[in-house]
Amino acid sequence: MTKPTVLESLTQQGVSRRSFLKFCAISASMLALPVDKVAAALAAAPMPSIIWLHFQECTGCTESLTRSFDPTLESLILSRVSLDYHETLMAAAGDQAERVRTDAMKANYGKYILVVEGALPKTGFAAKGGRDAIAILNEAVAGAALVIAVGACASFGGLPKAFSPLPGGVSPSGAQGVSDLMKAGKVPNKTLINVPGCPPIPEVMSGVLVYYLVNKKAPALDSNLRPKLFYGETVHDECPREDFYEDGQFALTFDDEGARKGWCLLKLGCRGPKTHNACTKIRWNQGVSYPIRSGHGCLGCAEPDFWNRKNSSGAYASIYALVSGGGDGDCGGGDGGGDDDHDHD
Amino acid sequence: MIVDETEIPALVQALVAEIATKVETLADHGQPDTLDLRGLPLLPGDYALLKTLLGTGEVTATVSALGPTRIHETLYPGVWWVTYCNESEEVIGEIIEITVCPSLLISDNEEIRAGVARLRDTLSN
Ligand code: SF4
Repeated sequence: MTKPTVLESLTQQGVSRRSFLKFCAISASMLALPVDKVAAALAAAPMPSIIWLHFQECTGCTESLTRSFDPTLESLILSRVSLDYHETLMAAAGDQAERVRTDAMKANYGKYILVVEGALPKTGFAAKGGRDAIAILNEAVAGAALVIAVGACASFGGLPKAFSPLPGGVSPSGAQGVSDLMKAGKVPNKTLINVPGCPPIPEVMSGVLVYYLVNKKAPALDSNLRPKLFYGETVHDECPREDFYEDGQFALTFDDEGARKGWCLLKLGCRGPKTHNACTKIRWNQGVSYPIRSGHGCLGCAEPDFWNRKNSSGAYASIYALVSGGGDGDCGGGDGGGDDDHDHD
Repeated sequence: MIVDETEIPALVQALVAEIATKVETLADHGQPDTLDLRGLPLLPGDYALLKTLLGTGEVTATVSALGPTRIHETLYPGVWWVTYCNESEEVIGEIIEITVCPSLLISDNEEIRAGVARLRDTLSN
């Protein structure tokens, strides 16, 4: 049975042609592609087969995608119509669920898109159907055309990989991201796109998929395997508080005069200058806002190991010793990867 | 509105020239085109000037699908200004379409067929 095209699937879900065209226009603008190309490709591309696996995590990425207000087209494309297997959203359980997964993999072997949510702990910390997490991942990666690691956990290990700042601290479960396992040769090497964030922006998750459907290849990636399209700039680059940063006007507590006047949040721990993500451009909750706009500094959730604060002074310590007069300047490994790292000395 | 040409920034002049070329291609070969305003390094002043220069022509429309999209034909036939908004009325995309009619305004044939079936249903109910 041939799969319906993306357009046909959406039409079957009651999405109007105009909504489809608008979605194509916005996606095209976001991905810097010509509108006609996106519309023509999505009208003709068969709905992809997506297998979505969960490992050690909180399921926040799936929540991010499916709990946007109305069913957005992002959620329709990603979660309603193209998913052949998703442990949170499917009704099946037990042996039946295991069979659904192996059948879906067999039917689309070599062609499916594998989405991984959650970190991979060492043997003994997570098992499904009596099988080890890494063994399940291994088997699924082998038949995938593309692997997308969504969220901080699947990309870089995330919270499960975090460890105590005290000497000898290690992650109890030995959790790792998919790329760590590929590098170590524990799972086959396949095209891998990291879409980090805790959780990632829904439009970024679907944007990556749309890019792949239109161009039949992965977008350009940075050294952390993040699409440069979305992670090419730092949060600070486009921050509305940047003028205050330049003028040295910083909020010092969350309710001082500076905070009320919208001054820079650097001294309250903002990691915007070291964090590559699209929050300032795409925003959250369908364009409503994002942390810095709502008065809280950037937590740096799209960078490797953001959960670990080696300086042990917590989330609100400034990342720059120079301006904070404290802290050790550590940014949880957050300065790798993108092209636009700022240097603030 | 008359704007002194010497005051028009180079980027806006280049854009107007590009639009003119695209309109000629539309007139000569029926080939439509688009210009994504978000992808251009326009300063707020440039943006406002371009909007003023192109002005508003005879047609203005709002399409309600995934939030409003506001469309108007500029003073120059075939040059349409399209602003996509989300449900909270925030601009999420803006393009200039060079076409005889923006695709968002045209009724789709399959939808026309589905619509007529619904219309006939109203008679039988
Ligand atoms: S440090 Fe944070 S709040 Fe300040 S300008 Fe940069 S991103 Fe904005």
